[in-house]
Amino acid sequence: MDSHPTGIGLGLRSAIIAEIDAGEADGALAFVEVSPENYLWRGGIALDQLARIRERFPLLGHGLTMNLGGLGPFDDGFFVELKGFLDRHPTPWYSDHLCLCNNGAEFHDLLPVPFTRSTAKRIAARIREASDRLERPMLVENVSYYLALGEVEMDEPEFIAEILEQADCGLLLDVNNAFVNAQNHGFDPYAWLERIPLERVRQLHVAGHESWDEQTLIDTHGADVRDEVYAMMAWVIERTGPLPVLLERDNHIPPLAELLGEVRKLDEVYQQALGRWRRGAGAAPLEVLHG
Amino acid sequence: MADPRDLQLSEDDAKDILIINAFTSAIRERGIDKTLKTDLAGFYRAHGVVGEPLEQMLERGPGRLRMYRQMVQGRLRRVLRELLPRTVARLGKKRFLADFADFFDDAGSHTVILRQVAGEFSSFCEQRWAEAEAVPDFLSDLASHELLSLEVRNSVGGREPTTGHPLALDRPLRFDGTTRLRRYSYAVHNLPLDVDDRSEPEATPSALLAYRDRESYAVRFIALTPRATEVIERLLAGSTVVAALQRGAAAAGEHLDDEFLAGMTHLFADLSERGVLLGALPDAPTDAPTDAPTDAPTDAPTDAPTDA
Repeated sequence: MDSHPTGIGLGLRSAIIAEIDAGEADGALAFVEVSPENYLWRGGIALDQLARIRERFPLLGHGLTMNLGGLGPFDDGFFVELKGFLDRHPTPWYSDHLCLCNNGAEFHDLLPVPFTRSTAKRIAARIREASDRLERPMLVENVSYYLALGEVEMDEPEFIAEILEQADCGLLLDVNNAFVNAQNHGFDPYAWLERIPLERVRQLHVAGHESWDEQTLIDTHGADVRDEVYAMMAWVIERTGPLPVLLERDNHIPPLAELLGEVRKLDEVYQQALGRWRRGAGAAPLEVLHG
Repeated sequence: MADPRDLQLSEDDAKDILIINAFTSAIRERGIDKTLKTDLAGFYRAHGVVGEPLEQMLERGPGRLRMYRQMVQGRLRRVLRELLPRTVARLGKKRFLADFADFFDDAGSHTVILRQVAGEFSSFCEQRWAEAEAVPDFLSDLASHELLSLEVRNSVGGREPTTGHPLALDRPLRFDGTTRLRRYSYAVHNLPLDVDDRSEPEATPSALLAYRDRESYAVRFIALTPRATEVIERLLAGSTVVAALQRGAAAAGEHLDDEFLAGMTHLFADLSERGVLLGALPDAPTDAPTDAPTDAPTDAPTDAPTDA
């Protein structure tokens, strides 16, 4: 895999792109993450801003609509556009979600898939096909799911590991999604993490979440990152070493200065975890990190 | 939606497809919310989900299924409110919810680009709005105008170089790639931008030339006179200048006299200055035929173009 940035980055969103273009995040971000769907079949100011920003920051590409969990064939036109975008905006890999986006119509959301062997096999084949079409490595991201579908043959870590193995691809590990799922489905997030093949993790996402109701957390990317999620990020980093870590913020986006404050806080936790990794201390006691 | 009978599938694949189809139907189907609450088993069985998968889905209950339905539909409705703010506001909450429910169930979105859902929704609704007494006659025009702004702002192209060739009668012209011409039956471009405004537009046929400013990226609108509309429409379709003038004048019901030519010269100069008109194309004249509408003029020519 090509060289890639490590450290804390931000997703390029319309609310902050002008300020980033104006240099207000220079020196504060290790990378910016771009969702090509925001730029495909599009011209105008956003494309010009992106062209300038990519001169100053490494880019990572992260998709929202590939429909890896889908049942029908991939959309050829979409892949042609996407590959063209990635050729013009090179990134070391391309990531998308382990989810369903389309079933006869686009849902514009990340919908769950059944945790079955047949689904894992189908998704792995689609990941390999996507990687071939895009001519670059693929990462897949674990999603927040609020409802398990059908008969659960495997739990999520087994499902993810099976896909990664069959597709021989990397994992974009979203620790907030793991936390939200743990709360919503009643499992220990660290027990979940321990069963994830960390050697395949190439990137992390961290984000804030909100409550849908008293029983359900929802992954809105619309709030500050919670301490528990910081701790999970640190737990991973001290086992994997340096990785690109994205702070995701898609709703209730605060001013850039405030977001950069959160980036700094995240970086402090990241650097401490990295220090533990460098000292080769291995896993710190979980009760300390949990606190 | 995938039909397991159409595919060569294992039994396990077929089970996956049935549950996925049921799940996405629960999100999409109009008026299904009550059934999810009162007859969840019937809902799943109707989608072919039986046996152990059914038992497990029933144990999980309808709550999160309904949550997905609200989440997905709510997100798309928010996008439509954002992209078509005045159209949606004038529809009113009840009508918008009904139109959206029909759109989502009957047609659905077929683009991965979120901003394009607004055009899908508007196209789906155009005929039903025209037929509905409760929907103002100008609403489709207003939606078109909101979409025009969105389209020009995000249009691929723009800032093409000038051709280096002066305008010539026997040549077609090059326009900036973001240029669009739209005709409306109502002067919706004169309505206030305030989403709470409920004033009605004049029932005046109108034509707007829209383009993206080369420097500021702002979307600019130029209100065209009827004769300018006829000429520009033909030029945008690839006609030579002389053909556009001759056929445009005829379509506008005017004589191609000195006054007409002076008006067009003034318009071309203005468009060139704005970076909309980029000179004559160097190719051999194509004199492409146009199938542009040839309505008789219904309004007196207005003065020089103005930004709306």
